[in-house]
Amino acid sequence: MVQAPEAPTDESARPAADAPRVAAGAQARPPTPNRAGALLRGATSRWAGVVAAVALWELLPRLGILPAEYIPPASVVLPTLVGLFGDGAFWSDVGATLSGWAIGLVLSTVVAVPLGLLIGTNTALHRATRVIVEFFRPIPSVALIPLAILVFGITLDMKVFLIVFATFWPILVQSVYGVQDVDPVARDSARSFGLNRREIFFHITLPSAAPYVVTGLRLASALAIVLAVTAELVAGAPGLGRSILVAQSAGASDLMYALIVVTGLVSLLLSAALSAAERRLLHWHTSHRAVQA
Amino acid sequence: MLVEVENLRKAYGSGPTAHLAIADISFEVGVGEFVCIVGPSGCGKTTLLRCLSGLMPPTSGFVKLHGTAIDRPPQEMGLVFQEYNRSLLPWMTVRRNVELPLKKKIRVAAERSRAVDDALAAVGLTGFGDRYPWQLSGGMQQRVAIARAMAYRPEILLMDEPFASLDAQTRIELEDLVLQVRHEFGVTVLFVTHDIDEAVYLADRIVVLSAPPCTVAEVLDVPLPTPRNQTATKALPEFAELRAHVYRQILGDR
Ligand SMILES: Nc1ncnc2c1ncn2[C@@H]1O[C@H](COP(=O)(O)OP(=O)(O)OP(=O)(O)O)[C@@H](O)[C@H]1O
Ligand SMILES: [Mg+2]
Repeated sequence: MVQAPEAPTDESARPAADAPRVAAGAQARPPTPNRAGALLRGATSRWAGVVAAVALWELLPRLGILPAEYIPPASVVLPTLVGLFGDGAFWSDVGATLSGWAIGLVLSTVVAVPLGLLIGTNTALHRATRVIVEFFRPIPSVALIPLAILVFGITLDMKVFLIVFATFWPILVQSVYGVQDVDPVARDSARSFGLNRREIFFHITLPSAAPYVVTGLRLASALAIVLAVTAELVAGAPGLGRSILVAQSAGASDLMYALIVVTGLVSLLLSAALSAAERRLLHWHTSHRAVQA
Repeated sequence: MLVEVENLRKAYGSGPTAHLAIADISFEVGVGEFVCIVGPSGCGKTTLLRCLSGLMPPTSGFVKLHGTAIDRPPQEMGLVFQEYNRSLLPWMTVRRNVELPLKKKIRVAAERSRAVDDALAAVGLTGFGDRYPWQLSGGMQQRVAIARAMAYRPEILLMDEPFASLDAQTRIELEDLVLQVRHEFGVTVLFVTHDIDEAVYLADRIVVLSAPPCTVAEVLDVPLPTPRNQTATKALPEFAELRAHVYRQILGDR
């Protein structure tokens, strides 16, 4: 009954059960007087890395080791970055990029999760769809940019189309794995207590699949940002990507770098928000269990 | 008779690769009896229990409950598996785990809540309802599984090596808990184990299975006095005799 799921091509596609378990083990250590010190040291060394990187960013162009005309030092870029926050056009760029991300991700999720759950619970359907999925999944979404422009023009729809195409497959595949990983003992005990198919689906199958689906969503979210910026950059749809290109053509390299940093920050914030949501939703999962003191 | 097993046979797969797990088993269980099923490892005990509980259809033969053959898990049975950490749902609290099977049996939420409290109290877990199963020790998790089965108010409690992965001390505690729960709820128990001492200590009757593909080697009455007591019962010469007898059945004259 437990079908060995085909190994996901991407290692990170599995719910991270092992690595965080190690981390939990580390937390389980009895607190020692040095613990606070260690935490402080951890924070310090993390920020020390950032400070060192910024210092290099400042020094290398200033010393002429890197060409300052292409890579302006931090002291030039960072004020531009701060200045962006007061700029209305910048915020509408952020909004355009994020709406592509959000609409694309929601559409993908709404279609791919139920479809994945259905395929995963139905052997015949799984066999029938496997080849199709394996054919479409490896097609890089960017290869469809010309097609998307042709069909949708330079619009939000075009961006959404590309994002949906890119994110559909990881969410689908993870949902399929998820339902197939339902513990037969859990299902048997539910069956023995007279739960019907619908109850088993909602109380057992869905929660068992959730960690996989969430992993799929995390992968998809990162992909969606990449695709949004790419679509803007290559096709010229409004958003952060297009502004990066505009800044580059205008020779405003400080602005270009500031916008690049912003795309990085946006991805970082989105993934942090998703992780926080995951910790709440899957607090019971081995990778998130809080160790009781 | 409450349960009748008639010429039960179970093969996994079909054709030349079929694996015969159970050759032919017949026995009966009366109302209120505590019957232990013992047999060597791999002889088909779990297979038998899965057929008994209606989770799996036999290849041929019947399991009858109140005289009718079962073809699905009957309402009258509550199951406790060996793998407590897999049969309890980690995303539900202890209370919700125990409550889940009751949703249809007890419609009124307050009554259901009381049934859960009673069951948790019966296994000594009052106050642990809001914990998650993984926050409890193995012994406590198995108590939750027993509470879940008992809250369901089954006529028959089916247990598949429920204590096999627990330490000796916890095991002894839970053996006595099962005897006590059985007394309190007046439930019939079918208890699968490979532990001969456990079988003799708990049972009114023992069904000894042969090496695979299994058949019934012997059905044995256990006329030890009740209530059983871990030290006194096990010190009885009759206990030692019965134990030796079952050992010889299963292991031969070693
Ligand atoms: N799903 C299955 N498919 C094929 N063969 C199976 C399956 N389940 C069990 N078997 C085989 O049937 C035989 C009996 O297995 P079963 O699990 O019932 O034994 P058991 O007495 O419960 O063993 P144990 O003491 O280890 O729990 C074994 O030879 C086993 O390999
Ligand atoms: Mg077994």
